[in-house]
Amino acid sequence: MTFQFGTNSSSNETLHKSISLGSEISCIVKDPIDVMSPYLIVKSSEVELTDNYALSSDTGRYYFIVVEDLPGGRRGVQCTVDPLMSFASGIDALNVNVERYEGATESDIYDSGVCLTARNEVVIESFSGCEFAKASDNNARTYILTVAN
Amino acid sequence: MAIVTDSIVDVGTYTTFNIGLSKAISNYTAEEVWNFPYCSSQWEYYKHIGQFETKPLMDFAPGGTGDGTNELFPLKYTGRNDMYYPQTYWFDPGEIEYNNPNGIYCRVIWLYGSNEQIANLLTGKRRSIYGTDGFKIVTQMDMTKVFIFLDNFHLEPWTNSANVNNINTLNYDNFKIKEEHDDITSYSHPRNCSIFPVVMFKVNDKLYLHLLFQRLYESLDWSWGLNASQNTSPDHAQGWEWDAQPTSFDGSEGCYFPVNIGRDFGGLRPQNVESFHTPTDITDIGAMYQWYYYGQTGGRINPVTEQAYLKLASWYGGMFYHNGKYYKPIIEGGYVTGYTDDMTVPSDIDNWIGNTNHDVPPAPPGPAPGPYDDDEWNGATFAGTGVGGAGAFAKVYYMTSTELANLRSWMNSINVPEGFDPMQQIIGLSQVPVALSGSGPENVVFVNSSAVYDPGVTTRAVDTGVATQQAMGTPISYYLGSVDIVRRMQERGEPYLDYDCQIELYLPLIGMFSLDTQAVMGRTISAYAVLDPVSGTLAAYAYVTKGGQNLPIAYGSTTIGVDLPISAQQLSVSRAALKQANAQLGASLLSGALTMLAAASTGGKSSGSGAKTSTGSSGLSAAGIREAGSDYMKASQVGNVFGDFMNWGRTIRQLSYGNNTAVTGSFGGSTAQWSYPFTPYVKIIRPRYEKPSNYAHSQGVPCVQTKTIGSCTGFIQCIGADVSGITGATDLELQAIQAALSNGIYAGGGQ
Repeated sequence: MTFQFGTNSSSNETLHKSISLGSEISCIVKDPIDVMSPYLIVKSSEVELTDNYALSSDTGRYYFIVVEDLPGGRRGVQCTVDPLMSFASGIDALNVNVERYEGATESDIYDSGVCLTARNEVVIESFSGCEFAKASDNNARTYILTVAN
Repeated sequence: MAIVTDSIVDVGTYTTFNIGLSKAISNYTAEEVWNFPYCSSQWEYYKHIGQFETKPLMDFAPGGTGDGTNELFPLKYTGRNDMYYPQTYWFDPGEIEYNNPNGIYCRVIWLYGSNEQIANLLTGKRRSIYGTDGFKIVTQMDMTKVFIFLDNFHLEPWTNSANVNNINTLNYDNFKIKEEHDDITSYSHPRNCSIFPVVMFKVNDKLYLHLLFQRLYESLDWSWGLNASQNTSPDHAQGWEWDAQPTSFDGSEGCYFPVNIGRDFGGLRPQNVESFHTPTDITDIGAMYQWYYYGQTGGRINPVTEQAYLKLASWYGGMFYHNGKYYKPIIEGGYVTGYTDDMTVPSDIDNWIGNTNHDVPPAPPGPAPGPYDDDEWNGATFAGTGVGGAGAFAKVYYMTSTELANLRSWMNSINVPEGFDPMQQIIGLSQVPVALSGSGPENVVFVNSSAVYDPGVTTRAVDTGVATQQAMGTPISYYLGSVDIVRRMQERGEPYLDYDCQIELYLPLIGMFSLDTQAVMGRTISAYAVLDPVSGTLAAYAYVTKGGQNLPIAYGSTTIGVDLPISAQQLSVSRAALKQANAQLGASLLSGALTMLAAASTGGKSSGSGAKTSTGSSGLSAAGIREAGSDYMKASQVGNVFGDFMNWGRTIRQLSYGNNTAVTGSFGGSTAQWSYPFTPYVKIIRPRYEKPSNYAHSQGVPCVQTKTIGSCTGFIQCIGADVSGITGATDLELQAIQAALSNGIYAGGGQ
């Protein structure tokens, strides 16, 4: 099987990862062959210990890899399939109910993820333009005398 | 409008009921027909493919020719015994009203008919209900109390009686949802016609509409022109076909049905709808209806050319609810062409026809949710303040303390006419803690009711000469000002928390009120106070305004006037003293006369001490009288009869009027409350929250919309995503993808 080794600088949860891959290299796949987690044996010169990502044109899948040195100038590559990147186009086409989205506008929908503190904010805001207060300025008093008419 | 023969049915006990119109359709007025809750006032009579002829509904009245072209809405029209449905050939609209034991009124309306009728209806484009992203069609009431709908009603009286949900055998299961999962593919003659179910509820004098086809957007597998094989698969019957107007009925266009309700929406059935909205101000109500027709394999409707086709020419619409707003369909030519966002203004993003990608619209109809909602109010109009007053028999003065002192001085003066008791003319004296301006300057004037009426005298008024302000005799209105209840939490990025705020209002001198946050948030509170100076009552109310209408939010009253202790009760004591003084004067005069006589006889001169002794305290216990008595005693010391007589006259006057300001009453009310603030204020308790700076990126923001992942960038979380459409992946990979979507991924290379 042929693989391209390189690096992935994106997080594992990223659908379309930012990757840098080398040229295709023919690899020995250790038995038992598992398309989701194959173990490869390659020459030391063909894969760097710092490589963390691979693409198999045979399986059409991307893999997270861990490279280790083996005796005899060889290196072992443990691959674990990255289904997000491998099926990114199919995932892109999914029409889904989005529960949470980074690009969503803040709305009146409750967000249970936000932590409320025990201490609330208390503010007092007075009315402006109160005529009643003006009428009572300076301890104003009025005596109401009611007499027979 | 009574169009139901047996309109009241106890759904808890009923077994059967009659449906239909209470009179022949021809006997309904056009207005009544228009007000049929389900349908149009006019139908287009479709004679030939592509040729429509508009006729009023009346033309389809019962008693037509019976050839299938002129009847519509006959009641249980069973005269026809055609090849399909001899029992119910034509549309048979029905309406029934229930009163359940809980007092909740509900109404179920339905239409049903043969495949042909339904297919005929479907010759018109139907975009009746469009469940979209963010456009939830939800029930408008608490479904835990009552819910009735007719689920996937099948009308196959002659093929599979076991599955017939005849209108007489519907089981409402005591307000619970009737579970029907009839697999329409199992029918040998699956001529299933779904009634639309529309349920309207009336709770607390408001009607609420429930549409069965809710959340159709959950399944956007649009059924376009299904072919014969697809027809047999209910799985293709998810969602609404977008363009349902066939160009012909040649058997290949398939059928047009929006959804197999009973099968594909089990998890989304109304009882599982997670959000119910409390209705607020529903100002209109209607009914939606929806039909679908499921043609049998190899036997779909293939109407003859002259078969009548009907489509709605107008619509009596229902409403949808979304984000606090109600939308009503706009009907043009029998199609729903758009939605209003406030029941009056058409929305501008309702070009359903132009939407060809079958995706959800980018935004729900109507304007984007803003800081304010568009709830309609039936606001209150507050009465004016020009009522009340002292009346014709009383006069009110607004006096300062100086003016009041002047009046007291006058009342204690000898200027008070003899025989006139001003105390008797005083009705009340109180004090309020505000400066009042009267209608104009005027002397305090009493009416000497004891004066002898003389036709030659024009008035018995007694002018005190004390200048003051005559009151207007009407309550006085004060604008208490306003305050904006700003959506501060929205400004801070968490809009929903605005509605977690607690808001209290202080109305001056009246007290605190807890306000309905929903009603005031984002609005301006204004307040007025009305003071009735005579009674000392202060009433205040606060309201919010929208569209010229006022929504009262708090009102109350208190008494701020404090009665002052002025009273005429002392008058009786005064009169008693006066009486006694008269007697004493008589004794004094007699004594003086005797003394004079004695002096004359003895040549001595009276010292008048007897008078002093005799008058003494004279039994006058009240302070004023005692003081007056002292004056009398001094006067009596003049020591001669004439002097005594003159003093008597002065004393009488002083006894009578010198105590006019004497008091025995008490204070009414307290001035202590005057120390309260005179300016209203609101106390707002807002929640505080803690949120990481990268919150949106790491956890996202609640969205609740349907989107294609490819259209998104950044963090996205989708629970329960259907990943079966991803080809080439193993089951484990699909599970991993689904799990990743549930946990959240970064779409579009967002990380």
